[in-house]
Amino acid sequence: MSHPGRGFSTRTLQGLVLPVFSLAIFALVAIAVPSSGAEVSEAEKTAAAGPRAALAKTLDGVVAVLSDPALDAAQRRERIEVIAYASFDFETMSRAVLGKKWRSLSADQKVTFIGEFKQLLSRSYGRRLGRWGDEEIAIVGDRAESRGDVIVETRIVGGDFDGAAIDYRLRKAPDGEWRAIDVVVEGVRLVSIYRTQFRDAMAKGGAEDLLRQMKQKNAKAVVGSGS
Amino acid sequence: MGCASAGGPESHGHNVDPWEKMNRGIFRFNEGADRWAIEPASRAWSFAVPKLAQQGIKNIYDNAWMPAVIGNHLLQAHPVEAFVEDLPRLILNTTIGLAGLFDVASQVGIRENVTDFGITMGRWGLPPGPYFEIPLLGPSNARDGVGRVVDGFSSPYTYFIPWWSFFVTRGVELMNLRALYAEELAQSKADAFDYYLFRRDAWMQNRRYRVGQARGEVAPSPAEDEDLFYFDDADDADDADDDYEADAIDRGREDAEGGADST
Repeated sequence: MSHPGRGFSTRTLQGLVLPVFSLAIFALVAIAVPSSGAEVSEAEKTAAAGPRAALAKTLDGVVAVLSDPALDAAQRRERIEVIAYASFDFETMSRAVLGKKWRSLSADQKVTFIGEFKQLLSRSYGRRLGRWGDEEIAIVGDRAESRGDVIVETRIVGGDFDGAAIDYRLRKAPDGEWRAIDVVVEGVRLVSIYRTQFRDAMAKGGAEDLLRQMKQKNAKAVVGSGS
Repeated sequence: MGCASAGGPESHGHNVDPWEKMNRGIFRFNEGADRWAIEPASRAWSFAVPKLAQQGIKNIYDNAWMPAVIGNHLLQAHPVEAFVEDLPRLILNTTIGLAGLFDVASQVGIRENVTDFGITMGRWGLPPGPYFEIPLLGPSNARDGVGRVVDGFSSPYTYFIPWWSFFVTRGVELMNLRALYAEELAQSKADAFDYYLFRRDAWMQNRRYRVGQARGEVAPSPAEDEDLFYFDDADDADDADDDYEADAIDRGREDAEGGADST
Protein backbone atom coordinates (compact mmCIF):
# COMPACT_ATOMS: atom_id res chain seq x y z
CA MET A 1 0.00 0.00 0.00
CA SER A 2 1.23 3.39 -0.81
CA HIS A 3 0.75 6.52 1.13
CA PRO A 4 -0.40 9.35 -1.05
CA GLY A 5 1.22 11.76 1.33
CA ARG A 6 -0.26 15.19 1.39
CA GLY A 7 -3.32 14.52 -0.62
CA PHE A 8 -4.26 18.08 -1.27
CA SER A 9 -2.99 20.54 -3.77
CA THR A 10 -4.68 23.40 -5.48
CA ARG A 11 -3.83 22.06 -8.88
CA THR A 12 -6.35 19.33 -8.28
CA LEU A 13 -10.06 19.46 -8.69
CA GLN A 14 -12.45 22.05 -7.52
CA GLY A 15 -13.19 21.70 -3.89
CA LEU A 16 -10.18 19.71 -2.99
CA VAL A 17 -9.61 22.15 -0.23
CA LEU A 18 -12.42 20.25 1.34
CA PRO A 19 -10.64 17.09 2.25
CA VAL A 20 -8.24 19.35 4.02
CA PHE A 21 -11.01 21.02 5.82
CA SER A 22 -12.60 17.77 6.74
CA LEU A 23 -9.55 17.13 8.84
CA ALA A 24 -11.06 19.58 11.21
CA ILE A 25 -13.37 16.79 12.05
CA PHE A 26 -10.62 14.72 13.44
CA ALA A 27 -9.16 17.81 14.91
CA LEU A 28 -12.22 19.01 16.71
CA VAL A 29 -12.99 15.65 17.98
CA ALA A 30 -9.46 15.09 19.01
CA ILE A 31 -9.56 17.54 21.86
CA ALA A 32 -10.44 16.05 25.15
CA VAL A 33 -10.93 16.58 28.82
CA PRO A 34 -8.98 19.58 30.00
CA SER A 35 -6.28 19.01 32.52
CA SER A 36 -6.89 19.54 36.17
CA GLY A 37 -4.72 20.09 39.27
CA ALA A 38 -1.43 18.56 38.28
CA GLU A 39 -1.16 20.35 34.97
CA VAL A 40 -2.06 23.68 36.47
CA SER A 41 1.02 23.63 38.59
CA GLU A 42 2.97 22.58 35.56
CA ALA A 43 1.55 25.56 33.79
CA GLU A 44 3.35 27.78 36.21
CA LYS A 45 6.69 26.36 35.18
CA THR A 46 6.33 27.05 31.52
CA ALA A 47 3.51 28.99 30.03
CA ALA A 48 2.52 26.31 27.59
CA ALA A 49 2.84 23.18 29.69
CA GLY A 50 -0.79 23.42 30.81
CA PRO A 51 -2.49 23.60 27.42
CA ARG A 52 -0.04 21.19 25.90
CA ALA A 53 -0.59 18.64 28.61
CA ALA A 54 -4.33 19.16 28.31
CA LEU A 55 -4.20 18.49 24.61
CA ALA A 56 -1.97 15.45 25.03
CA LYS A 57 -4.36 13.98 27.53
CA THR A 58 -7.20 14.68 25.17
CA LEU A 59 -5.61 12.98 22.22
CA ASP A 60 -4.94 9.92 24.34
CA GLY A 61 -8.55 9.89 25.47
CA VAL A 62 -9.87 10.11 21.94
CA VAL A 63 -7.53 7.47 20.60
CA ALA A 64 -8.65 5.19 23.43
CA VAL A 65 -12.27 5.62 22.39
CA LEU A 66 -11.51 5.13 18.71
CA SER A 67 -9.45 2.02 19.22
CA ASP A 68 -11.84 0.31 21.61
CA PRO A 69 -13.31 -2.54 19.57
CA ALA A 70 -16.12 -3.05 22.07
CA LEU A 71 -17.80 0.22 21.09
CA ASP A 72 -20.12 0.54 18.14
CA ALA A 73 -20.27 3.65 16.00
CA ALA A 74 -23.05 5.30 17.99
CA GLN A 75 -21.32 4.72 21.31
CA ARG A 76 -18.08 6.13 19.97
CA ARG A 77 -19.79 9.21 18.69
CA GLU A 78 -21.47 9.70 22.01
CA ARG A 79 -18.26 9.43 24.00
CA ILE A 80 -16.38 11.66 21.64
CA GLU A 81 -19.17 14.19 21.93
CA VAL A 82 -18.89 14.15 25.70
CA ILE A 83 -15.17 14.77 25.40
CA ALA A 84 -15.68 17.56 22.87
CA TYR A 85 -18.35 19.25 24.97
CA ALA A 86 -16.03 19.31 27.95
CA SER A 87 -12.96 20.53 26.14
CA PHE A 88 -14.31 23.26 23.89
CA ASP A 89 -15.43 26.63 25.08
CA PHE A 90 -18.49 26.93 22.88
CA GLU A 91 -19.61 30.22 24.36
CA THR A 92 -16.40 31.97 23.41
CA MET A 93 -16.55 30.33 19.99
CA SER A 94 -20.11 31.54 19.54
CA ARG A 95 -19.17 35.10 20.41
CA ALA A 96 -16.23 35.01 18.07
CA VAL A 97 -18.17 33.52 15.22
CA LEU A 98 -20.83 36.22 15.32
CA GLY A 99 -18.52 39.09 16.16
CA LYS A 100 -20.34 42.23 17.10
CA LYS A 101 -23.60 40.81 15.85
CA TRP A 102 -23.52 38.70 19.00
CA ARG A 103 -24.80 41.64 20.95
CA SER A 104 -27.84 42.03 18.74
CA LEU A 105 -29.11 38.65 19.92
CA SER A 106 -31.55 38.45 22.81
CA ALA A 107 -30.57 36.43 25.87
CA ASP A 108 -32.75 33.56 24.68
CA GLN A 109 -31.31 33.66 21.20
CA LYS A 110 -27.81 33.53 22.62
CA VAL A 111 -28.57 30.39 24.60
CA THR A 112 -30.18 28.81 21.56
CA PHE A 113 -27.28 29.79 19.36
CA ILE A 114 -24.65 28.28 21.65
CA GLY A 115 -26.64 25.05 21.90
CA GLU A 116 -27.15 24.75 18.17
CA PHE A 117 -23.58 25.69 17.28
CA LYS A 118 -22.28 23.12 19.72
CA GLN A 119 -24.44 20.44 18.15
CA LEU A 120 -23.56 21.54 14.67
CA LEU A 121 -19.84 21.20 15.24
CA SER A 122 -19.97 18.02 17.26
CA ARG A 123 -22.44 16.21 15.03
CA SER A 124 -20.97 17.03 11.69
CA TYR A 125 -17.56 16.10 12.97
CA GLY A 126 -18.66 13.06 14.87
CA ARG A 127 -20.10 11.64 11.69
CA ARG A 128 -16.71 11.50 10.09
CA LEU A 129 -15.15 9.39 12.75
CA GLY A 130 -15.78 6.26 10.77
CA ARG A 131 -12.96 7.28 8.48
CA TRP A 132 -10.39 7.29 11.21
CA GLY A 133 -7.68 4.79 10.30
CA ASP A 134 -4.13 4.35 11.42
CA GLU A 135 -3.41 8.01 11.77
CA GLU A 136 -1.86 9.40 14.87
CA ILE A 137 -1.62 12.96 15.99
CA ALA A 138 1.68 14.24 17.27
CA ILE A 139 2.04 17.41 19.25
CA VAL A 140 4.96 19.23 17.69
CA GLY A 141 5.04 22.60 19.39
CA ASP A 142 3.25 25.45 21.01
CA ARG A 143 3.43 29.18 21.15
CA ALA A 144 1.89 31.84 23.33
CA GLU A 145 -0.16 34.52 21.64
CA SER A 146 0.16 38.08 22.77
CA ARG A 147 -2.91 38.15 24.99
CA GLY A 148 -2.69 34.85 26.82
CA ASP A 149 -4.07 32.25 24.42
CA VAL A 150 -1.81 29.39 23.56
CA ILE A 151 -1.59 27.74 20.15
CA VAL A 152 -0.71 24.08 20.34
CA GLU A 153 0.58 22.69 17.05
CA THR A 154 -0.04 19.13 15.96
CA ARG A 155 0.66 17.05 12.88
CA ILE A 156 -1.10 14.03 11.49
CA VAL A 157 1.24 11.09 11.20
CA GLY A 158 0.42 8.38 8.67
CA GLY A 159 -2.60 7.85 6.48
CA ASP A 160 -3.89 9.99 3.65
CA PHE A 161 -3.14 13.27 5.33
CA ASP A 162 0.33 12.53 6.60
CA GLY A 163 2.08 15.69 7.68
CA ALA A 164 -1.03 17.89 7.74
CA ALA A 165 -0.83 20.67 10.30
CA ILE A 166 -3.62 21.13 12.81
CA ASP A 167 -3.30 23.92 15.32
CA TYR A 168 -5.52 24.43 18.33
CA ARG A 169 -6.11 27.73 20.03
CA LEU A 170 -6.63 27.15 23.72
CA ARG A 171 -7.71 29.63 26.33
CA LYS A 172 -7.62 29.38 30.09
CA ALA A 173 -11.13 29.59 31.46
CA PRO A 174 -11.92 31.28 34.78
CA ASP A 175 -12.10 27.82 36.36
CA GLY A 176 -8.46 27.29 35.46
CA GLU A 177 -9.11 24.77 32.69
CA TRP A 178 -7.68 25.17 29.21
CA ARG A 179 -10.31 24.83 26.55
CA ALA A 180 -10.07 24.99 22.78
CA ILE A 181 -11.69 27.91 21.00
CA ASP A 182 -10.47 27.37 17.46
CA VAL A 183 -9.05 24.70 15.21
CA VAL A 184 -6.81 25.63 12.31
CA VAL A 185 -6.28 22.97 9.65
CA GLU A 186 -3.53 23.79 7.16
CA GLY A 187 -4.26 27.45 7.65
CA VAL A 188 -8.02 27.08 7.40
CA ARG A 189 -9.61 28.52 10.50
CA LEU A 190 -12.79 26.92 11.69
CA VAL A 191 -14.34 29.89 13.47
CA SER A 192 -13.51 32.25 10.66
CA ILE A 193 -15.06 29.94 8.06
CA TYR A 194 -18.34 29.80 9.94
CA ARG A 195 -18.15 33.50 10.62
CA THR A 196 -18.48 34.53 6.99
CA GLN A 197 -21.38 32.19 6.42
CA PHE A 198 -23.27 33.11 9.59
CA ARG A 199 -22.84 36.79 9.04
CA ASP A 200 -24.06 36.42 5.50
CA ALA A 201 -27.10 34.48 6.68
CA MET A 202 -27.87 37.10 9.33
CA ALA A 203 -27.52 39.92 6.83
CA LYS A 204 -30.04 38.21 4.59
CA GLY A 205 -32.60 36.91 7.04
CA GLY A 206 -31.74 38.09 10.53
CA ALA A 207 -30.91 36.12 13.66
CA GLU A 208 -34.12 34.11 13.68
CA ASP A 209 -33.50 32.87 10.18
CA LEU A 210 -29.96 31.82 11.02
CA LEU A 211 -31.16 29.93 14.09
CA ARG A 212 -33.82 28.26 11.99
CA GLN A 213 -31.21 27.12 9.46
CA MET A 214 -28.99 25.79 12.22
CA LYS A 215 -31.84 23.80 13.75
CA GLN A 216 -32.67 22.42 10.34
CA LYS A 217 -29.12 21.23 9.78
CA ASN A 218 -28.94 19.66 13.21
CA ALA A 219 -32.21 17.83 12.70
CA LYS A 220 -30.92 16.50 9.40
CA ALA A 221 -27.70 15.43 11.03
CA VAL A 222 -29.64 13.27 13.47
CA VAL A 223 -31.54 11.60 10.67
CA GLY A 224 -28.42 11.09 8.64
CA SER A 225 -26.25 9.98 11.52
CA GLY A 226 -26.99 6.32 10.99
CA SER A 227 -24.43 5.98 8.26
CA MET B 1 -29.28 31.18 -0.81
CA GLY B 2 -27.19 31.45 -3.89
CA CYS B 3 -27.56 35.12 -4.65
CA ALA B 4 -24.92 37.74 -4.11
CA SER B 5 -24.14 38.00 -0.44
CA ALA B 6 -25.65 40.96 1.30
CA GLY B 7 -23.05 41.76 3.91
CA GLY B 8 -20.17 40.31 2.00
CA PRO B 9 -16.59 41.35 1.84
CA GLU B 10 -17.41 44.51 -0.09
CA SER B 11 -18.69 46.25 3.02
CA HIS B 12 -15.34 47.78 3.76
CA GLY B 13 -12.45 49.22 1.88
CA HIS B 14 -10.94 45.92 1.00
CA ASN B 15 -12.78 43.45 -1.10
CA VAL B 16 -11.18 40.11 -1.85
CA ASP B 17 -14.06 39.07 -4.06
CA PRO B 18 -15.04 41.99 -6.27
CA TRP B 19 -16.20 39.57 -8.95
CA GLU B 20 -18.53 37.75 -6.60
CA LYS B 21 -21.49 37.99 -8.90
CA MET B 22 -19.64 36.48 -11.82
CA ASN B 23 -17.90 34.00 -9.55
CA ARG B 24 -21.19 32.80 -8.18
CA GLY B 25 -22.41 32.34 -11.73
CA ILE B 26 -19.39 30.23 -12.62
CA PHE B 27 -19.78 28.46 -9.32
CA ARG B 28 -23.33 27.48 -10.22
CA PHE B 29 -22.11 26.25 -13.58
CA ASN B 30 -19.37 24.22 -11.90
CA GLU B 31 -21.80 22.76 -9.41
CA GLY B 32 -24.12 21.83 -12.25
CA ALA B 33 -21.31 20.24 -14.22
CA ASP B 34 -20.29 18.34 -11.14
CA ARG B 35 -23.77 17.18 -10.42
CA TRP B 36 -24.72 16.12 -13.93
CA ALA B 37 -21.40 15.04 -15.41
CA ILE B 38 -18.37 14.80 -13.16
CA GLU B 39 -20.03 13.15 -10.21
CA PRO B 40 -21.94 10.50 -12.20
CA ALA B 41 -18.81 9.80 -14.24
CA SER B 42 -16.70 9.46 -11.14
CA ARG B 43 -19.29 7.17 -9.62
CA ALA B 44 -19.11 4.90 -12.63
CA TRP B 45 -15.35 5.15 -12.49
CA SER B 46 -15.42 4.22 -8.84
CA PHE B 47 -17.56 1.20 -9.61
CA ALA B 48 -15.28 -0.01 -12.37
CA VAL B 49 -11.91 0.79 -10.86
CA PRO B 50 -10.91 -0.53 -7.45
CA LYS B 51 -9.72 1.92 -4.78
CA LEU B 52 -6.19 0.60 -4.97
CA ALA B 53 -6.03 1.27 -8.69
CA GLN B 54 -7.48 4.74 -8.16
CA GLN B 55 -4.66 5.39 -5.72
CA GLY B 56 -2.17 4.09 -8.24
CA ILE B 57 -3.53 6.40 -10.90
CA LYS B 58 -3.37 9.34 -8.53
CA ASN B 59 0.24 8.40 -7.85
CA ILE B 60 1.04 8.49 -11.55
CA TYR B 61 -0.44 11.96 -11.89
CA ASP B 62 1.32 13.18 -8.77
CA ASN B 63 4.57 11.89 -10.18
CA ALA B 64 3.97 13.55 -13.54
CA TRP B 65 3.65 16.89 -11.72
CA MET B 66 6.95 16.47 -9.88
CA PRO B 67 9.06 18.30 -12.51
CA ALA B 68 6.83 21.32 -11.93
CA VAL B 69 7.28 20.98 -8.18
CA ILE B 70 11.05 20.81 -8.56
CA GLY B 71 11.08 23.83 -10.83
CA ASN B 72 8.96 25.82 -8.43
CA HIS B 73 11.05 24.92 -5.42
CA LEU B 74 14.12 26.12 -7.28
CA LEU B 75 12.38 29.34 -8.23
CA GLN B 76 11.35 29.79 -4.62
CA ALA B 77 14.99 29.42 -3.57
CA HIS B 78 14.27 26.19 -1.72
CA PRO B 79 17.03 23.99 -3.17
CA VAL B 80 16.99 21.57 -0.25
CA GLU B 81 13.41 20.53 -0.95
CA ALA B 82 14.14 20.34 -4.67
CA PHE B 83 17.30 18.24 -4.47
CA VAL B 84 16.90 16.27 -1.26
CA GLU B 85 13.20 15.48 -1.45
CA ASP B 86 11.62 16.19 -4.84
CA LEU B 87 14.32 14.92 -7.17
CA PRO B 88 14.99 11.61 -5.39
CA ARG B 89 11.23 11.13 -5.20
CA LEU B 90 10.82 11.66 -8.92
CA ILE B 91 13.70 9.32 -9.76
CA LEU B 92 12.63 6.57 -7.37
CA ASN B 93 8.97 6.61 -8.30
CA THR B 94 9.63 6.83 -12.02
CA THR B 95 12.00 3.86 -12.03
CA ILE B 96 11.32 1.42 -9.22
CA GLY B 97 7.81 2.79 -8.84
CA LEU B 98 7.00 2.00 -12.47
CA ALA B 99 6.34 5.45 -13.90
CA GLY B 100 4.85 6.60 -10.64
CA LEU B 101 2.28 3.86 -10.14
CA PHE B 102 3.78 2.96 -6.77
CA ASP B 103 4.80 5.63 -4.34
CA VAL B 104 8.07 4.02 -3.34
CA ALA B 105 9.48 7.30 -2.11
CA SER B 106 6.92 7.60 0.65
CA GLN B 107 7.67 4.03 1.69
CA VAL B 108 11.28 4.93 2.31
CA GLY B 109 10.33 8.11 4.10
CA ILE B 110 10.82 10.82 1.49
CA ARG B 111 8.34 13.57 2.12
CA GLU B 112 5.91 14.48 -0.63
CA ASN B 113 5.81 18.19 -1.34
CA VAL B 114 3.22 20.08 -3.21
CA THR B 115 3.78 23.53 -4.57
CA ASP B 116 2.97 25.51 -7.67
CA PHE B 117 3.78 28.68 -9.54
CA GLY B 118 1.07 30.67 -7.76
CA ILE B 119 2.91 30.03 -4.51
CA THR B 120 6.20 30.88 -6.16
CA MET B 121 4.83 34.29 -7.16
CA GLY B 122 3.36 34.80 -3.70
CA ARG B 123 6.64 33.87 -2.11
CA TRP B 124 8.29 36.78 -3.89
CA GLY B 125 5.64 39.24 -2.91
CA LEU B 126 2.97 39.18 -5.58
CA PRO B 127 -0.44 39.70 -3.95
CA PRO B 128 -3.19 37.19 -4.72
CA GLY B 129 -5.51 39.64 -6.44
CA PRO B 130 -9.24 39.09 -6.66
CA TYR B 131 -10.79 35.72 -5.99
CA PHE B 132 -11.64 33.97 -9.22
CA GLU B 133 -13.69 30.86 -9.83
CA ILE B 134 -12.35 29.03 -12.88
CA PRO B 135 -14.87 27.16 -15.00
CA LEU B 136 -14.61 23.42 -14.33
CA LEU B 137 -11.57 23.89 -12.14
CA GLY B 138 -12.92 25.82 -9.20
CA PRO B 139 -11.34 28.19 -6.69
CA SER B 140 -8.48 30.41 -7.73
CA ASN B 141 -7.43 34.02 -7.82
CA ALA B 142 -5.83 36.24 -10.39
CA ARG B 143 -2.30 35.31 -9.40
CA ASP B 144 -2.84 31.59 -8.99
CA GLY B 145 -4.91 31.33 -12.16
CA VAL B 146 -1.90 32.57 -14.10
CA GLY B 147 0.20 30.17 -12.06
CA ARG B 148 -1.85 27.23 -13.22
CA VAL B 149 -1.22 28.08 -16.85
CA VAL B 150 2.51 28.30 -16.23
CA ASP B 151 2.46 25.00 -14.33
CA GLY B 152 0.53 23.45 -17.19
CA PHE B 153 3.39 24.22 -19.55
CA SER B 154 5.88 22.63 -17.23
CA SER B 155 3.98 19.38 -17.12
CA PRO B 156 5.38 16.52 -19.18
CA TYR B 157 1.91 15.96 -20.61
CA THR B 158 2.20 19.12 -22.56
CA TYR B 159 5.14 17.85 -24.54
CA PHE B 160 4.69 14.15 -24.84
CA ILE B 161 1.08 13.87 -25.82
CA PRO B 162 -1.05 15.59 -28.47
CA TRP B 163 -2.77 18.73 -27.24
CA TRP B 164 -6.30 17.35 -27.26
CA SER B 165 -5.43 14.40 -25.11
CA PHE B 166 -4.40 16.85 -22.43
CA PHE B 167 -8.09 17.31 -21.77
CA VAL B 168 -8.60 13.59 -21.61
CA THR B 169 -5.83 13.06 -19.10
CA ARG B 170 -6.96 16.03 -17.04
CA GLY B 171 -10.49 14.71 -17.16
CA VAL B 172 -9.38 11.33 -15.91
CA GLU B 173 -7.28 12.97 -13.21
CA LEU B 174 -10.20 15.03 -11.96
CA MET B 175 -12.67 12.19 -12.14
CA ASN B 176 -10.29 9.98 -10.26
CA LEU B 177 -9.79 12.54 -7.53
CA ARG B 178 -13.50 13.16 -7.38
CA ALA B 179 -14.00 9.47 -6.74
CA LEU B 180 -11.32 9.30 -4.06
CA TYR B 181 -12.70 12.22 -2.10
CA ALA B 182 -16.41 11.78 -2.79
CA GLU B 183 -17.30 11.31 0.85
CA GLU B 184 -15.47 14.36 2.15
CA LEU B 185 -16.95 16.48 -0.59
CA ALA B 186 -20.50 15.40 0.16
CA GLN B 187 -19.96 16.01 3.85
CA SER B 188 -18.58 19.48 3.33
CA LYS B 189 -21.49 20.43 1.13
CA ALA B 190 -23.96 19.12 3.67
CA ASP B 191 -22.28 21.06 6.47
CA ALA B 192 -21.97 24.37 4.70
CA PHE B 193 -24.54 27.13 5.07
CA ASP B 194 -23.35 28.70 1.88
CA TYR B 195 -21.05 26.37 0.05
CA TYR B 196 -19.70 29.11 -2.17
CA LEU B 197 -18.51 31.16 0.79
CA PHE B 198 -17.32 28.11 2.63
CA ARG B 199 -15.15 26.94 -0.23
CA ARG B 200 -13.93 30.39 -1.13
CA ASP B 201 -12.75 31.21 2.37
CA ALA B 202 -11.28 27.79 3.03
CA TRP B 203 -9.39 27.96 -0.23
CA MET B 204 -8.09 31.50 0.34
CA GLN B 205 -6.96 30.76 3.87
CA ASN B 206 -5.19 27.63 2.81
CA ARG B 207 -3.38 29.45 -0.01
CA ARG B 208 -2.32 32.23 2.30
CA TYR B 209 -0.98 29.69 4.74
CA ARG B 210 1.01 27.93 2.07
CA VAL B 211 2.49 31.11 0.70
CA GLY B 212 3.49 31.94 4.29
CA GLN B 213 5.17 28.58 4.55
CA ALA B 214 7.07 29.12 1.32
CA ARG B 215 8.33 32.37 2.76
CA GLY B 216 9.51 30.58 5.85
CA GLU B 217 7.18 32.32 8.24
CA VAL B 218 7.47 30.67 11.60
CA ALA B 219 3.80 30.84 12.43
CA PRO B 220 1.89 31.25 9.19
CA SER B 221 -1.42 31.38 11.05
CA PRO B 222 -2.69 34.92 10.91
CA ALA B 223 -2.44 37.50 13.60
CA GLU B 224 -5.93 38.91 13.11
CA ASP B 225 -7.21 35.97 15.11
CA GLU B 226 -6.29 38.02 18.10
CA ASP B 227 -8.98 40.47 17.11
CA LEU B 228 -11.47 37.78 16.33
CA PHE B 229 -11.21 36.20 19.72
CA TYR B 230 -11.06 39.19 22.03
CA PHE B 231 -14.19 41.07 22.75
CA ASP B 232 -13.32 44.57 23.62
CA ASP B 233 -16.18 45.76 25.78
CA ALA B 234 -14.89 49.30 25.62
CA ASP B 235 -15.72 49.96 22.00
CA ASP B 236 -19.07 48.32 22.30
CA ALA B 237 -21.11 51.38 21.56
CA ASP B 238 -21.71 50.19 18.10
CA ASP B 239 -22.34 51.99 14.97
CA ALA B 240 -23.91 49.85 12.34
CA ASP B 241 -20.85 48.91 10.41
CA ASP B 242 -18.28 48.18 13.06
CA ASP B 243 -18.96 44.53 12.61
CA TYR B 244 -16.49 44.64 9.83
CA GLU B 245 -13.62 46.06 11.76
CA ALA B 246 -12.05 42.75 12.51
CA ASP B 247 -12.57 41.74 8.96
CA ALA B 248 -11.03 44.86 7.58
CA ILE B 249 -7.91 43.69 9.33
CA ASP B 250 -8.51 40.24 7.95
CA ARG B 251 -8.83 41.47 4.42
CA GLY B 252 -6.04 43.95 4.77
CA ARG B 253 -3.77 41.21 5.82
CA GLU B 254 -5.05 39.05 3.03
CA ASP B 255 -3.65 41.56 0.66
CA ALA B 256 -0.55 42.08 2.66
CA GLU B 257 0.09 38.43 2.03
CA GLY B 258 1.77 39.66 -1.06
CA GLY B 259 3.26 42.73 0.52
CA ALA B 260 6.79 41.93 1.48
CA ASP B 261 6.72 45.27 3.24
CA SER B 262 4.16 44.12 5.78
CA THR B 263 6.74 43.12 8.35
